[in-house]
Amino acid sequence: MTDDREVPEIRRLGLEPTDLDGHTIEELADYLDAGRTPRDRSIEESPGCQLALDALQRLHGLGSELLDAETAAEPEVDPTWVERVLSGIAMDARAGRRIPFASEEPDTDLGITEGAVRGLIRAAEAAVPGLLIGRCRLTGDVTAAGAPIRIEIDASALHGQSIPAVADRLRDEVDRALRTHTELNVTAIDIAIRDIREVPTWTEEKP
Amino acid sequence: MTTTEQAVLAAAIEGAVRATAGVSAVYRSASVISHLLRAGAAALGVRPEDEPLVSVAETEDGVVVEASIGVESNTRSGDTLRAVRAAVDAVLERQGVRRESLTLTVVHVHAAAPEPVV
Amino acid sequence: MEDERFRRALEHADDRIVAGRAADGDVEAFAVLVRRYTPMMRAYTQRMLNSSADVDDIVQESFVTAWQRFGELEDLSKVKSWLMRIVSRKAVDRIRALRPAVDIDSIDRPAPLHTSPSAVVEMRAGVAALGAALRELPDAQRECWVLREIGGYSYEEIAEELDIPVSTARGLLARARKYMIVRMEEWR
Repeated sequence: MTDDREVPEIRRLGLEPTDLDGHTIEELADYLDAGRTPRDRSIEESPGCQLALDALQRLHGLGSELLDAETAAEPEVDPTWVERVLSGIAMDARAGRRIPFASEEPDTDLGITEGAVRGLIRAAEAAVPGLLIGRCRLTGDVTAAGAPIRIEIDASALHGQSIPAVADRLRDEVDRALRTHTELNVTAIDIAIRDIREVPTWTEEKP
Repeated sequence: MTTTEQAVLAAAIEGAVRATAGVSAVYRSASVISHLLRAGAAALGVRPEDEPLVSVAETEDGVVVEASIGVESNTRSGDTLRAVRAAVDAVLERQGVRRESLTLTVVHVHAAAPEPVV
Repeated sequence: MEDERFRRALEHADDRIVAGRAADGDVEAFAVLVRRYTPMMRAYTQRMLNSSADVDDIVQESFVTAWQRFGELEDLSKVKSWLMRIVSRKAVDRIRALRPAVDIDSIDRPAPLHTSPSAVVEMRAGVAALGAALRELPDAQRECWVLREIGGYSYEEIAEELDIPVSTARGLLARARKYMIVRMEEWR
């Protein structure tokens, strides 16, 4: 720390090309961004450049740290704020394609939306403890009766659960739900358990 | 059919749909026809909350009916849809109105409350 | 009871899972994202604008845009940086609305003192010094610096975002960096 009240003129660290053996701060910043490769001898062997590179490096790390610190300092998110945001969106649950049912009558169209089916699949997790469903996809032409359809589900399982057992239970539950609410020809239900996340609140409650 | 008669018919159909076993809710339709009907109603000064949720539009060959519904999870959707179709047809027959087409879509399956875990 | 535990599970679940459900139209999952990322988006917006006015509107609009555009998000695990991009764009839009063109003449004039953050922030002294120095930068330099060093934008992206030539963006960034380095070294 210095009592020097002058506009910054640091003797040791200089940032003009004369201090940097002909290089500019821009060049050094680019060099740093490129991971200091390919190695540039004139930069690496210049003490002035090294000082400036160190300073740039320090500065760069601090940017993210500043954001983290100020994020942590923000007040806790109010439920009224969440309501305010939700009131601004159209909650139509992404209807997607229309999945038909067989209709004996002409001029009568019976169907269920893809969005409703995805909601159904997500609801299946309630029957399978220890599992959280993420994204689900219906691949194949769901609008064509009888077309082979593949269900793909992303899920995460609670740490400690047996993954195959959990996957099987979910598969059974989803299969049951789809038979009850669609006439889809489901050829496969692929469940990808992508990560296992420890949920602290759960482990606390374990008997 | 006048606009009022159309609205009355739509309300009657909506009532029949709601009363059908397996139906948990009636939703606003998102189809093009429905948008046009709502625009028309708005132009006439009908408030959104007073509009029927079921869409009824008149053509030369009869009425075009569209409804979007929510269903209970413990009843097969196909069964519910066919029951709704029968209910709608019953209303139309009572009113002496011919049906050109009927489009019924399940937009939500209402999950039953989870079983209590021992 | 079971329901309650699952709701909490979603609250702590990985970004990919939560974003996946939100992308599928699950409002509850979307609310988790709102709770999870509002503080970061507020902090970032305040740094971009150097004030706390308009921050709520900008963050809210960003979430609405995110909801509408989830289909565009290819890699769900990148939802955090995707949200940052959206809020950057909104913040810059607001800046440009209030100040139509980057005033090149003013790039060296220091910014007037704006309100400091309302909370007293506990942080490493170096980080606090950075925060203070950042507040001293002229607007255009600060915006470039925040977009680059916090937002992770490339020079081309900064230029496009602020509607200035790439060379101007590089120049502004170089100036900002020099000022910041010198201030930070002073502090040391």
